[in-house]
Amino acid sequence: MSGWILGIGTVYLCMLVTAALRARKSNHSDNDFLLAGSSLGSLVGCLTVAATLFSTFTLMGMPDLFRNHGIGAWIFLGVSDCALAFVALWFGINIRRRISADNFNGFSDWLGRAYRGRHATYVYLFGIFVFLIPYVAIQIKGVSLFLNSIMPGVMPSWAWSVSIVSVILAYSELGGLKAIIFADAVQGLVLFGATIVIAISCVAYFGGIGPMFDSIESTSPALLSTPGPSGLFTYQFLIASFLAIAMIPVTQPQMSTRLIIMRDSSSLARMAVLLAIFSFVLVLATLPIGLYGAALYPTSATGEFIAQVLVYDQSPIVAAVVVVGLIAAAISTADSQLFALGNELRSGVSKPQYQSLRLMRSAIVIFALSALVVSLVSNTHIVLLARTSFAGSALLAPMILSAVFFPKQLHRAIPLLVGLCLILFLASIFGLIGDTFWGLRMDLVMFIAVTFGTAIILMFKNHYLPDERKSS
Amino acid sequence: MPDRLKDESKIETLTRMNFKSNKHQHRSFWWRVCCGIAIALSAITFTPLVIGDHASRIFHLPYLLAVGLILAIAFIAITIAGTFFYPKSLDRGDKK
Repeated sequence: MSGWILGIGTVYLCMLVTAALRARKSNHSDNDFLLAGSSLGSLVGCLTVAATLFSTFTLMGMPDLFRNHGIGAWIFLGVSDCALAFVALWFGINIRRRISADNFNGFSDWLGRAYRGRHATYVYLFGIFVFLIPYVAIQIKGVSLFLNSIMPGVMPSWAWSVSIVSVILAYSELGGLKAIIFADAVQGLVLFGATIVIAISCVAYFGGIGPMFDSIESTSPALLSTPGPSGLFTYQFLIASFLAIAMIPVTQPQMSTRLIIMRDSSSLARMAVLLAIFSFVLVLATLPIGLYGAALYPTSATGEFIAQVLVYDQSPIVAAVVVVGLIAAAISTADSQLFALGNELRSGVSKPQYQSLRLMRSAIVIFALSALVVSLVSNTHIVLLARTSFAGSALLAPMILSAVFFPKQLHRAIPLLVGLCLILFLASIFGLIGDTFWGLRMDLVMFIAVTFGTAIILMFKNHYLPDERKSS
Repeated sequence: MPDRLKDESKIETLTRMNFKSNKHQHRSFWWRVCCGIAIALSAITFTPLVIGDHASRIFHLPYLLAVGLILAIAFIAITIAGTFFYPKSLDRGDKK
């Protein structure tokens, strides 16, 4: 198997280098480097959005969720991701009305101008940095540990982490967003193909779809309904997760930027449809992998189960494709987020003379090194921040949506309210305050508070407006 | 140009504008319907109709999964419908 991994890995690396060099050659302006020329077609758009969205969690986390908590995981991610595709269409169409790709600098800059103050920029930057850096770090750490477990003699896990970050930095700095989008497209295809092949082999093990569910019903019937054997998939959990996932196109800069740089609205619309179908098939394919684990490895630790089902139970070539696909998934999710973070920091800088590509490139290096350090020293709190990153960044949604739909009614109280809710949510994660309020989960409480608070501010905005804006 | 022809030209222009406006309103209406259905689907997902301890099977699939699949397909269908009805006037971000 190591030979296959080496061979396929080398091909993948060569493709990345070629893409980075070609992108470097075709980048003639800052817009080319930052926004890939703002001319994304529907197929490449779908693949890059999907690769950004579906991280290593898809192939490592989803089967484990199905194995341990049952088919409620389909509502958790399958239905939510299809809803996400519609939100991508809805938000994409509306944000393109407000922002032209030619004038787009980044969301932090745009929010600052929309709210006529820097506080919106700071709240947005705080929200994305505090949740996305741990998420990137956990991606890198997860794959490094996995690689170390299946190839223990090659190098220690920290060295895998350093290698992955080095690859990300090399081609992001060289080729910009074009190189990243190309890598995303390759990763999307590899991940999709590998998952489908493994899913088919898992269904074949049971002898068909009907026998698969019969087998699970006879051994663990609780897996076939909610809330699952350990009660994870409660109403509150599923609703909070649905809102957090559906808001990803609105709140995560790496996603929303891709909606803006689509060639035109027709490409955006086709991309949304392809994304919905891609998500549906990919998440559905992880179901038999999880149920296969529930039948064969019900008590194994997560790492052991993943290594067995993805590597040791597969033919060497499929296993090698999976390993390379996982590395690619970690790289493509991490690089998109690091690039988006760098761009947002650059656009959030108030003085135009400092808004240079050099600053952005330096920022990407600093963020990548921060993510590397966090991945090496990660503790329980970092893991919790990463796990709740979507829920945390979803709190930014009302502030962004208000700027899109009610540009004339904005008030600085909205970003301040969002900032307060972010701090309270962080306090609950770190155990400084309780994680429930009136029997509701804190992420749900904060989302309700920020949504209704924003609505009230928008309704009574005339009472709060400064005098100069009342007169205008 | 004679007055009669001028009037006919005006009427034709107005009719065309009216047709375009109707078409725009028509699209806008169906786009809102799509958004409404998406919200309704989201709400239905979290009712006891979908989530709960259902033991029955639909086409060999557990009830929860079968209904979940139908909901996901409905979201895909509404996204496809949305591509036909999204308001075309809102395309300032399109590259010229």
